[in-house]
Amino acid sequence: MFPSKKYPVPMAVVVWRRFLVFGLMFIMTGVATTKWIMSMPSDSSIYAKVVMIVLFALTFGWIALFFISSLLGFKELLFGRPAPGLKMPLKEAEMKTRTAILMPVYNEAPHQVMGNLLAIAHDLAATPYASCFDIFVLSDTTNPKCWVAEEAVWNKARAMMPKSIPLYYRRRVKNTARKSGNIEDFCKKWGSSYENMIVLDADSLMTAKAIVQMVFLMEANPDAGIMQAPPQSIKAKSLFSRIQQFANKLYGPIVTAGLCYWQMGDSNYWGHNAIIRVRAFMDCCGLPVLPGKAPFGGFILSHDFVEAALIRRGGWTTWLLSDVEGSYEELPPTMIDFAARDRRWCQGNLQHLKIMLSKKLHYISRIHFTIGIMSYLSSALWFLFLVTGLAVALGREFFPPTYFSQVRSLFPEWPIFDKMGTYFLFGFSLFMLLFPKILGLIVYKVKTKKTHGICKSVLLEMFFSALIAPIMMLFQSKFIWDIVTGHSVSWNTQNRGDNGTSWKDAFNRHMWHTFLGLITTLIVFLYVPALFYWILPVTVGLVLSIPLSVLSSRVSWGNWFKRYGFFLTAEEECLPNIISEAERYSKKLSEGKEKYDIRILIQNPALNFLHASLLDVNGPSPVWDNTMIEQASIKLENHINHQVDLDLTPEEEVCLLYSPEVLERGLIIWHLKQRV
Amino acid sequence: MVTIEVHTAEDVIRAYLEVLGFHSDVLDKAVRYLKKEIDFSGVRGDSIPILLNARIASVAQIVFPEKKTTISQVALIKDIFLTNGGVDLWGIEILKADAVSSDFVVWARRCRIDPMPEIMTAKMEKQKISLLHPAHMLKKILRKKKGISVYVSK
Repeated sequence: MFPSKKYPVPMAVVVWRRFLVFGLMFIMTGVATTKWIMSMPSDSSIYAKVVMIVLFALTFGWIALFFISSLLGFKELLFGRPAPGLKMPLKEAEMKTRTAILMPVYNEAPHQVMGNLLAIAHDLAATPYASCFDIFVLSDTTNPKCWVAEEAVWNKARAMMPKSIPLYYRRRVKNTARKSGNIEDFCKKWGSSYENMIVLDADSLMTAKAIVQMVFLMEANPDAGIMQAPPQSIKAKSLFSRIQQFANKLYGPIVTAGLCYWQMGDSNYWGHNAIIRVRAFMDCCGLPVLPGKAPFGGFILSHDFVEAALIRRGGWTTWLLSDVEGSYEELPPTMIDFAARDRRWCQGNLQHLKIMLSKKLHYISRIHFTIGIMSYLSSALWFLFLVTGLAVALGREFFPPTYFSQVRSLFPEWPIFDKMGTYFLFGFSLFMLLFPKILGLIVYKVKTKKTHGICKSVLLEMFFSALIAPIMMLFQSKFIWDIVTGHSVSWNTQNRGDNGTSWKDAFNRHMWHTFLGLITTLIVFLYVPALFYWILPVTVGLVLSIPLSVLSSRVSWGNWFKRYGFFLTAEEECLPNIISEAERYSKKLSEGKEKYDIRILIQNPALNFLHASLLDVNGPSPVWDNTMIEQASIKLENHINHQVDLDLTPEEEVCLLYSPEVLERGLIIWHLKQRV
Repeated sequence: MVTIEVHTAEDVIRAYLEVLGFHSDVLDKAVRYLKKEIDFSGVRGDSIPILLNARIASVAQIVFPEKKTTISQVALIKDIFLTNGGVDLWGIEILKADAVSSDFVVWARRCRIDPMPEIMTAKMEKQKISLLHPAHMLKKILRKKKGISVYVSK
C-alpha cells in the first residue's frame, strides 16, 4: 500500500499556521536585532559588533520560536481543537490490524523492563483487543551478566503474562547500528506479519488506552506513517529529576501543542512511545551508513529524526498526538547523567548537519533537523555571546574611548550606549523565557484538580533552572567542541539508579565550571564592576555547580521537597494504575534477588537448558578462539571443584555463554559435587 | 577442559538424569535402562553426557525437526521435560531414542513456547541520502560556468 499524494490538511491552513509562527519569529527577531544594533556601544570595533549582532539574532530567534509556539500551544490547549487533517476513528470500531510492541534493550535491568511490559500486557488484556498485540523484547545486550539475567527474568515474566498476549525475546549476536539496527533486524525477520509497531524505550510505559487509541488512529488515517505520543516523565526520585519531571509536566503540554499547531502532518519522531506503520518504515527507513569517520560519519546515531524525515519523504504523514495521555518515560536521575545523555544526543543531532541538506527532504524535516541542532548549538552561541560581551566590556576598560579623533574637531566624539535599550531587550528576553511557564501554570490549573503547592514549586523551579542553565550551557558547549574536534561518544547504558552523585565525581565533572565561574566573577568585580550584578546570575550557578550537582542528585532531598509539597505532579498525587502495576511486577520479578551470572547456569538446570535452547534464535554464534574456551573452561572447573573465585573476563564469560556443551558439563559436575 | 573423570560412570549418568528431573524409583529404572541400552565400558566420564545427549537428540529431532542445531533441539526438549514435570508424566520416555511414543511427541510440542515467532524474511532497502559535499557543489558551479563560456564563444 502506498500513501495517497494528497496532503490531508488544506494548504491554506498549512500556509497560514506556518506563516504565523515563522513570520512572527522573523519579525520579532528583526525588530529586536535592530534595537540591539541601535543600543550597542558605538565605540566597539566593527568585528565585535558584527559578531554580537549575529549571535544576538540567532539566540533571540531561537527563543522567539519557542515563545510563539508556546503562545499558540496555549491557545490550542484552552480551546482544545483537534489537529486539522487527522481523522478521528469511529467509536466502537473493530480493530483490524495487528501490532507489535517492541522493547529494544541494551544492558538494562531486566526486571524493570519486563515489569513495565507485564503492566502493559495486563492492561491490554483487559480490553477486547488483546489478541491484536504481540510484545517483543529485542535485546542488544553485551554484558554477559545482563544477558543471563534477561533470559531468566524473561522466563519468569512470560509465565506471568496474560494468556492472550505472547512475550517474545531475542538477543542479537552483534549489535550493528545500535537501536535502529535492532529495529531493522526485527522488521526484516518478523515485521511483515504486522501492520503497526509501537516502539518503546527501556523505561517506557504506556497505558492500554493510549495504545488502543493510537492503533485506531493509524487505522483511521491510512496515509499516516508515524504517530508520536508525547511521553510524560514519571518515577522521579532525586531532587534533580523531580524538578525536571515537574517542569515537563507543567510546560511540556503547551510546547507540544505549539509544535502540533504548525507541524500538523509533518511532525517529528522522538524514537520511542510512537506507533509506526511497518510497511512505510520498511519501504523508507533503511538507514545508510554515512561516509566518513565518527562523529559525523558512520552509523546514524539520532536515527529517529532521520526516520521521520525519510518516511515523510516517502509521502507518508507523521503526527504528534498532543492529546494522547498515558504515555510515560523516566528521566536521568542526576545532572551528570542528564549531561551524559545530552552528549549522545548532541552528537546525534550534529551528525544531522550532514543529512539536513540532502535531496528531496520535506522542508519541515529540514526545520526539525535545524531545531535539533540548535537545541545544542544555542548553548554554544549563548556562551560565545557572553564571552564576546565580556571581552567588549573589558576592552573598554583597558582601552578607553578616544573622544578626539585624529581629524581635528571642536567637539568630542561621545561613545553612545543605549542603556535603556539593553535593559529593555534583557527584560523582554527574560519575559519570553518565563511567560510560557506562566501559561503552562494556567493550563495546568485549569486542567488538573489537584494543584497542591504549584505556585511555590514554579518559583523554585525557575530559580533552580536559572542556576543550572549556565552549567548546562558549558556542558553542551564542551560537547560541541569535542564533537567538532572529532571525539566520538561510546554507547553506554543510561543510568536509572538512585545512587546519586559522589562528591568526588561531582568535583571531577564540575571542577572547571566552578573555576570558570570564580575567575569570571573576580575579573568582572575587579575590572568591570558595573557588570557585576549582571553577570552574577550566570556565575552563581557555575560557582555552586559541585554542591548543586551532588545535593540535587540525592533521593533524600527529592523526598524532603516532596514531603513539603514541592514539585508534586498529578501522577505523584494520584498514582496511575499502570505505574503502580509496573512497580508491583518489577518487584515480583526481582524477588529472591538471585545473582545472575554464569554460575546460575551451572546450578539451575532449567536456566541452563533454556539458555542453550535460545542460542539458535539469536542467529549464528560467533567463532571463538579455542584457547579462550580452554582457559574459561579451566577457570570454571577450578571454581566448581576447588571453590576458586570465578575470575572470568567479560569476554571469557561471553565465550562460555556461547559454549553450551561446557556449561552442561559444568552443570553435571556441580550436581556431582552436591551429591558428594 | 572441565573433567569429570574422578567419578564412576553410574555417578555421571545419575547426575545427568537428576538434572533432567529424574528421582527415586524412576531414576533407578532409567539408570538400569540406559546401562542395558548403551555400553559404557571404557567410556571416559566426560564423554558420557555426549552419549546421552546423542540419545536424546534422536528424540528431539523427531519432536522439533525445524530447530536449526542439534544442541538447541536437545536443550529445548530437556527444558520442556524438566519444567513441565516430564519425569512424572512420561517416566523414561525421553531416553527411548527412536522408539519414542507419538503421544510424547504431541505432548512435547504442545508444551513448547516459542521465544520468537517464525521468521518471515522481508527486504528493507538502504535509503539513498545524497549528502552535501563542498567539492561536489563547487564542481556543479564550475560546470555551469563552463556551459556559459561555450555559449559565449559561439
